[in-house]
Amino acid sequence: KVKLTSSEGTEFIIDRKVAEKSVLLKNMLEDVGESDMAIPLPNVTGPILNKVIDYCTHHQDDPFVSQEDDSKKVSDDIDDWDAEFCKVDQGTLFELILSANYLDIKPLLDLTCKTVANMIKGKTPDEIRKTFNIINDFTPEEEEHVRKENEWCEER
Amino acid sequence: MSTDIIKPRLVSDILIKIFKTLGAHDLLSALLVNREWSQVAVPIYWRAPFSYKKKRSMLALKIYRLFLEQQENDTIHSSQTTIKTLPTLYDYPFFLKELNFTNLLELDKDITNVDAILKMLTSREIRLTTFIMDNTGTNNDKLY
Repeated sequence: KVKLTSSEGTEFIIDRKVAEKSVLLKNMLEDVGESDMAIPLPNVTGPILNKVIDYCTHHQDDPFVSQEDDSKKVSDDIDDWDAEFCKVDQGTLFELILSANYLDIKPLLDLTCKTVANMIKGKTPDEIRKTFNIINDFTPEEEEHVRKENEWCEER
Repeated sequence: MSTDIIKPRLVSDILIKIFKTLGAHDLLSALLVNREWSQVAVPIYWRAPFSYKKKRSMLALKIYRLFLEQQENDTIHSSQTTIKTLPTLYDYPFFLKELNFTNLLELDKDITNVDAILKMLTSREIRLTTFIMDNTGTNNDKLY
């Protein structure tokens, strides 16, 4: 068993196998060995850590995916459980991405990034801004330049 | 002290990962969103500009020519002190990683122009990771 504490100090006790889905934790556990000391995760809040543990528990028997094995997968291949897992508000989704990145859980990072990519697909720049609440900080001249230099004419 | 007050933001590293899974059309939309997205998406969009659709390669060729013209102008007025300004908003040729030479030749039949582009890339020490040269002659059907 492994003890983790979230940023607010909430303690989580999980199986070592589940914890080892995180490369960061796996390396830490290998270095420190079994210990009763809780591992502090100051970058991860309790609710997010809870979600991350859910994910790692569900996927604990999946084979390990190496860093290099990054062949361009189509973003449609998200299974039902994973799709359901990603049905969260945007703030939570972004926090999951940052936590997956920090904890080094590649399949979770891939899944959450894919989910964001799917939110971008097929949208106009303005629709993307609305979706993610992004302010257009281009000057009109800049925007015109970027458009001219990158937009190829499909018709015309 | 607690970190949950800060609104989570996708950092550039994450944006790169997301953008790499997007196709050209979505990448084009992404690079028009704002400055930050633009700076992340443009290098990905320009890593292999001659490897996809012909219309897009034509645009890339047009942009590359602006850089060629400027290089010529620079050599004419070659005072050491001039600060090199870009002919475009971004230094597009700098992002080239994959060059489909067959397509480039197909696009610009004048070998001296293609040669000038290669010279420009060499002089600017652009490091390619992939150089595609298809000598079967079937490439046109596949890509263009």
